[in-house]
Amino acid sequence: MKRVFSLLLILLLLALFPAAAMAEEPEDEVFPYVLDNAGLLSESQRSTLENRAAELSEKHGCNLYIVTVQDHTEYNPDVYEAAKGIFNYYDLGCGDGREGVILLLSMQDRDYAFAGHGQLGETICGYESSWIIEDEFLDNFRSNDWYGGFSDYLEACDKQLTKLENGGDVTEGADIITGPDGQEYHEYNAPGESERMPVGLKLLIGIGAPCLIALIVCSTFKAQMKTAKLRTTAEEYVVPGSATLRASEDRFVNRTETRVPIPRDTGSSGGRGGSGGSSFHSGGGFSGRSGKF
Amino acid sequence: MPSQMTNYQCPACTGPLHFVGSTGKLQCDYCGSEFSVQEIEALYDDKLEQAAQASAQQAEKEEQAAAQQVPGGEDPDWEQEQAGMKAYNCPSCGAELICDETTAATSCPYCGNPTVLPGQFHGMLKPDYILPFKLDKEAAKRALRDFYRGKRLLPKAFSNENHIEEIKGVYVPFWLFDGQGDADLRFKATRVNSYRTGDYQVTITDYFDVRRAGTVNFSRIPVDSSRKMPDAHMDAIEPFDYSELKPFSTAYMPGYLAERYDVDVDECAERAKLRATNTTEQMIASTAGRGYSTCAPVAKQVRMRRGTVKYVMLPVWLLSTRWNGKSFLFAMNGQTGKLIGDLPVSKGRYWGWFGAIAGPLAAVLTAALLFLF
Repeated sequence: MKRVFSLLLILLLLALFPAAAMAEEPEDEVFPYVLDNAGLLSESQRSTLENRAAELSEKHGCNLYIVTVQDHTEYNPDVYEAAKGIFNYYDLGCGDGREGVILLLSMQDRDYAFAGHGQLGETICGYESSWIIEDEFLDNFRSNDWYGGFSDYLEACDKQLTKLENGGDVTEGADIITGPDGQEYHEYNAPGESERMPVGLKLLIGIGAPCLIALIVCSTFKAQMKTAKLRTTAEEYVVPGSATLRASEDRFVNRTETRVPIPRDTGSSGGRGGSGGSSFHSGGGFSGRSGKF
Repeated sequence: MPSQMTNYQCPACTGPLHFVGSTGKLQCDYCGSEFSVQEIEALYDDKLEQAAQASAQQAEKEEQAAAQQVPGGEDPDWEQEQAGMKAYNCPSCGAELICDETTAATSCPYCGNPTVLPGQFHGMLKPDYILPFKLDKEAAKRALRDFYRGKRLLPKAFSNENHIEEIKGVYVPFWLFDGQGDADLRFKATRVNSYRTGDYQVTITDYFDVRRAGTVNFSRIPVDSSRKMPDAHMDAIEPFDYSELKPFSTAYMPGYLAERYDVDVDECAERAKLRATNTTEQMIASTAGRGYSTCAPVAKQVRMRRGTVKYVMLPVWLLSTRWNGKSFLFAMNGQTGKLIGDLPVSKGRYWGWFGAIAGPLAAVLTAALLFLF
C-alpha cells in the first residue's frame, strides 16, 4: 500500500514539476506547500499561495500545507486519515516536533480535512480554534472560490499562530453555542430562530396529531356499532375456477428516459458543525477537522 | 268449505306441531312426539291441496266482488286499511286472523297454534327450496347478548335496561341468481426502472396499453324479495350454506313466520347484477397489474348474463328492542348464527375514549416538541 501511495504521489510531483524532477535527484525533492493535484488553481495562483505559505511557515515555525486531490479514497477511505497519512508519509512539518498544518481537499465528493501536528499545529487545529479557521475558508469553497479559500486558510492560520505566539487565547471568537437540540454549534452554523419550529406549529402538531389518532380509533369503535350494511360485491358466489381470460394483451407504446443530477451532499446532519464536520484529537499527535464543503 | 289455513296437528294427540331446527323434525307441543317432515307431508298432502284450492276460490270471489262494487260505496279510510290485508279463520279455534297479504305462515293470537297458508305457495308462487332453521330462539337471545360484548361505545344502560321486545323466526323469501359476468377492460400501465450512473439518477419508463377480457361465473347470489325486510340486514347476515337446502315443503314452517315474495325477479336482479358486475371487474382487473409499476383503468365494458333463478325461503331470526324511544332491529342467520344490527352510540363514552387517547398523547408529544425541537 505504501509503495502504491508513494508511486502515485511521485507521479503527481513529476507531472507538476517535470523540470525540477529531471534536474534533481529524488532525495533532494522538497514537498511543496501547495500541491494542486486536482487542478483547481492556475499556475500563478498556486505560485502566489506557495510563496505565502512558505513565508508564513518560516515566520511561525509551523509549515502550512495545501493539498488537493481528485479522490482521497485512493489514499485512505477517510479524508481525515488521508490528510494525516500524507503528512506522516512525507514526514512533513518543521523542527523536531514536525510542526505543521495540512489542508486536504478531495473533489470527488467535496470532502475536506485539515490536521495539525506538533504543539503549534495541534493547538490551532484544536476543537474551538478549528471552528475559527474553518469559518474563514468554507464559505469560499462552497462557492468554488478555491484561491480565496486557500488564501483565507493561510491567513486564518497566521492569525491564530500570531495570537498563540503573543500568548493570546486561540479559542477567542469561536462563538460556540449550544443549539436548541442540545448539540454544540458554532454560531455561524447554529440553526437560527427562523429554522426552529414556531411554538404555534408545535402546539398545533402536539395537539392536532393525537386528536387525529383518537378520532381514527373512535371512528373504528363507532364502525363496530353499525354492522347492517348493503353488500356491493359477490365474491363468495363465484364458481370456483370459473374465472377465465379470453384476451390478455400487453402492447408496448413508448419509452421515456429522464436524467436528474444527484445533488451533492453538503449535508448538515450528524456530528458537530454546520457542514457535517467532525473534530478529532487523535493519539497520533494530530488535531483537526474534516467534513464536506 | 275447506279452510285456507292449515294447522299441523300431532297424529297421536292432535296437539299443535312445530318444526325443531336442531333435530330437523316436527315436535308435538303437548305429548312431545316427533315426526319427520316426510311423515307429516304424507299425512297433509290432501289437506294442503284443499287449502290451496280454497285460497284460489276465495281470491276469485274477491276479484268478482271488487268488480261489482259500487264506486264510493265504502268509507275510503276503511278501504285504505283493507288494502294489503287478508282475513282468515283459524282452523283450530275459528278465530278470525287478519294478516298481510304476503303472510304465508303465522300463529293464531288466540289459541297460539302455528298455522300455514298453503295458498301463498301454490302454483307459480311455490318456492324451489327451503333452508330449515338450525338455531332456536334461545340461541338468538344468546347471540344478541354476545353481540353487545366488546362494543366500547355501547351505552351501559342499553345492555342493562333494554329488553327484547319481540323475537321471531321468519322464513324470508329470496331469489337466488345464477349468471355470468363478462368484462373487457383497458388500462394504461407503466414499468419504471431507475438506476444511478455517475452524477445522475436515470429513470426509464416504459408505457403499455393493457387489455384484459374474461368471464366469471356466479352461482346463487341471494337477494331478499320481501319489502318488509331491510336489505342491509339481509345482505349482512350472508352467507348461507346452500348445501343444506331442501326441496320446499310447508312442513318446515310450523312455529315460524313466513312471507311470500312481493318484489319480483326483475327488480331484485338489479341488485344481484350490481354485485356480480363489481366482482367481475375486480377479478379481471386483478390480472392486469402484475409486473407493472402503475396500472390505471381507462375504459371498461362489463356485461351480465342472467342464468337460472331460484325462489327459496331462508331462515332469519329477527330481534327487535326499544331504548330511549328508538327501535333497534337485529337479524340473525338462522342457520349459521351470524348476528348483525345497528347499536346506539353513547356520546359520553365516545368523548371519554377520545379524551383518554388524545390527552396523554398530546401531553407527551407537545412536551417533546417544546423541549426537544
